[in-house]
Parts: sequence; structure tokens; C-alpha cells
Amino acid sequence: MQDFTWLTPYLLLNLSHGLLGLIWLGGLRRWTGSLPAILEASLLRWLLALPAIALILRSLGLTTATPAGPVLIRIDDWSKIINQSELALGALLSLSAGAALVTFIQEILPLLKKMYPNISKNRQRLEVTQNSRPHLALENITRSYFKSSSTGAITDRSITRSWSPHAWTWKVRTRAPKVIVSTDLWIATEGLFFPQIIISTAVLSLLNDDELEASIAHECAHLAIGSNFVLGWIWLIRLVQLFNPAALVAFRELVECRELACDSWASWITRKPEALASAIKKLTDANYVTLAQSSRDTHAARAEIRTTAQRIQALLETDVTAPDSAIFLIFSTALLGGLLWGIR
Amino acid sequence: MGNSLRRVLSTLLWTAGLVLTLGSIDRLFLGPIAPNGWIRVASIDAVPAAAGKIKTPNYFPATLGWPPEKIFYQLKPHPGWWISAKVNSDEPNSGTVWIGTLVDDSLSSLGDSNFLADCLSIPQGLRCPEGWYFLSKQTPDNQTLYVLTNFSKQEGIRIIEGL
Ligand SMILES: [Zn+2]
Repeated sequence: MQDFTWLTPYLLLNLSHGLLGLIWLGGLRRWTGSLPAILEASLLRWLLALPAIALILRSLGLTTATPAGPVLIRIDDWSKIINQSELALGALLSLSAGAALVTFIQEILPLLKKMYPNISKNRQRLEVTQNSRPHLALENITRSYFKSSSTGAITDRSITRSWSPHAWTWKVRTRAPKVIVSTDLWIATEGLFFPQIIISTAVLSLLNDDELEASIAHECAHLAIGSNFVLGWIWLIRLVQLFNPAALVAFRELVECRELACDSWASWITRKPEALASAIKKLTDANYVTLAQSSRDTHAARAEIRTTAQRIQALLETDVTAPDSAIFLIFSTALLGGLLWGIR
Repeated sequence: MGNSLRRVLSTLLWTAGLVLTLGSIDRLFLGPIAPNGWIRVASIDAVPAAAGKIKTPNYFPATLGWPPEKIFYQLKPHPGWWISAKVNSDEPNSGTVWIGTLVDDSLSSLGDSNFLADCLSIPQGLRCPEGWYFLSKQTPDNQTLYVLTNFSKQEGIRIIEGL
């Protein structure tokens, strides 16, 4: 039989990091009352990124070279114990292979399918039309945005999100919304560096002005909180941890939490949570899942069906609040980093 | 403010709780963290099995006694042991023997035996003081044994062959 024992420390390190991160976040949710969705989405992103960074550092031999600080879990010693038992080694390898298989079938394969050229050709043939309603909605959002925050801006030239120690400031860069003639209900942001909101005529006729504005604000939130560019990074981080079931769970939680975070951001800007809730309800009732950041991401779409009820409830029952200051995010991420550093 | 302070405190407490729990689980199953470097112990029984099994020589020069006088072991960075025989002679220049398994940079920390480190440093044996011999052999279980002595070379060979 092939010797897999050299893999054990890597698999064990990544698995313990991922599991501990999830347990830590679970405890945080419980002990701090409730975490604002935008904060939780940011934490989930770090929860995915830090184990990947640790794995890369170890592969490059950089963790053993700097044995600083106390060790909580001795990965090398535990790996030796696992390697001594065929049962334990077999269990670890099966768990890892299973996680990779699930990730491949449920996430990577659908993504590859969507990249199949015929489909993108079809989309290019879609007819573009002019409609002033999305533009007016975006103008309204921009105006409300300046009322909510003095430092950020929604312009057609800025791209980055920046923060000051006291408050998040956001910059949203988007080109003028594109309206597509289609009977499909479809609203999404597309593009990596120069994202654009794409909206179908069916959505325009379904939603009233307030609902449209709230929905477009939700799409702007995707650009502010995590653009397609950030999503690409998260996908790379996912691939590094293909064998980690905990990373699979964290990624799914992130996909769901992102929608809640974008809803709360949109409500903060427009002050129209009821309109957004009603838009979500209308779109869902019309039996189409939309508001996915990218319509290519079918898993995200499926996750949204499950969270629709949760999203509507959150919109109607939670008070509209400004996003948290960055201080707690930095503080808690540093704690998480220290905790994970103890496992090596 | 009160709310965010409470959140910071609960986060700190929860993280500290996790640190304690993880550390305790690890220590409970794997024991205390082995210190780096050589540790001197009083008897052979005190050497943990992870450092390797100490070989008892079949042959010793008449002036040497057993158990050994100095016993050192190391677990980290690499496991190994070194012992020096007890000299049962009042003669100041009578010969002695060091037996051990591990040759690495950390040998210089072996107490008063700096010459041992010199002697064992690469290229092995070339820097031994006058009259010292450095011998090594491979045991059937693939361990390398070293003998360092200022008896004659013949005595050294007899000792290492009896290991
Ligand atoms: Zn969305």
C-alpha cells in the first residue's frame, strides 16, 4: 500500500485549524449575544483564510523555523500517534478524501459546467435595452449613502473598500446598471475589476421603485463587502483546503452569511428594510432565486433558498444599524490567529 | 459602549477557555512538553524510552564500574543518550569511556564535557585531544553507537564490540 503517513501532519493541522475556528465562532455567537451579519461574514472569511495561510507556511517549512510562543496542540506528536494506528490513519484519510469528493461534486463541478462556452455565448446574445429606473434607483442610493456616511462614496471610478479605526468607510465602484430583455427574473453583479449590476426587464416589471432601490442597494453591498474579486480569492483559499470538511462548512456558512450581511448593509443605506424584504419575497415567490452575487454560482443560489425566510425575518425584526467599527473585528481576528498559532 | 465592552470581555474569556481546554487535552494525552537539549539524570531508569534504550556493555576495563557516573538524555530536537563510565581508580590519569548514540550541535551543552563535543564534531574524531579514540558501530536495529575513550584503541574496540 502507498505510504500516506507524510500527509498526516498537513491534514491534521488543517483539519484542527478549521474545526477549532468553527467552534470558536460558534462560541462567539453564543457568548456575545448575537454577532452583526457584516462582522460575522468578515470573521468567516478569516476563518477560511488563516488555516490556508498556516498550511502554506508549514509546507514552506516556515512554522518549524520559528517556534515562538506556547504550543497548545503538538501536531507532529499527534500525527505520530495517528500514524501508528492503521484505523486512525484510515479514518483521517477517508474523512479528507470524502471532503474533497463532496467539494468537487457540489461546488467545483457546477462551476465548471457554468463555464461551458455554449452558455456564455448564449448570454452574450441577450438583448440590452435602456431603462431609467435602475439609474434613478442608484442615484437615490448614492444620495442616501452620503447621508449615512461622510467618508465613503459610490462613484463609477472608485473600487476599494477602506476602513478607519472608528468606522467602516466603503467605496463602491460600479458601472451604470445594464438592463437585459428577458422573461427570467435576474439581478446580479458581474465582472471582476469593473463590476456591473445586471438586471432583467422581468425584475423591473415585478418590483416597485422602493423594492428596486433596495435590491440594487443589496447588489452594491456585494461590491462593498466582498466583490467578485474577493470571492475569487476565497475560492483559491477553498481549493488549498480541498481535503478539509471544516473548510467546506465554513465556506457554506460564509455564502449564507454574506446575503444577511448585504441585506443589513442595504438597509443601513436605504433605510428601507421592508422594501427589501418584500422584494426578496416577490422574487422567491416567482420561483426564481436571484440576488446571488453571481448567477453562475448555483450553490450560492441554492443556499439562498434556504436562507430566504431567515433573511426576511432578519430584515423585518432587526433594527437598522450602521456597520460596526473595525476595532472588534481586528481584535477578534487577532485572538483567532493567536489561538490557531498554538496548534502547530 | 457597555455592550461592546461586554462583547470584548466574553470574546476574551471564551478564547482563553479554549486555550486552556486545548492545552489540557494535549498535555493529558501526550504528557508535558519535552524541554529542548540535554538533561542529566541520576539513574538509567530515569531515561525515557523515547530517548532510546541504553546498551549495557559486556566488556569493561577493570578500573571501570557500572552503573555509569554521568547519564544524559535528550528528546528534542533529536532523541539520544550519552553515558560516562564510573572510574573505580584513585589514579588521576586513569582511562575512562563515554558511550552514546547521538552526534549533533547540542553536544556542547553536555556539562563539563566540552571536549566531547569537539571530539564528535564533524569530521568526527579529528579534533579529539591527544590519546582519545573515537569509534562507532551500527547495531542490528539500525542505531549508531559511539564510543569515546582514552584507553588504548584495542580496549576501545573490545568495549564497542561488547555493546
Ligand atoms: Zn446577494
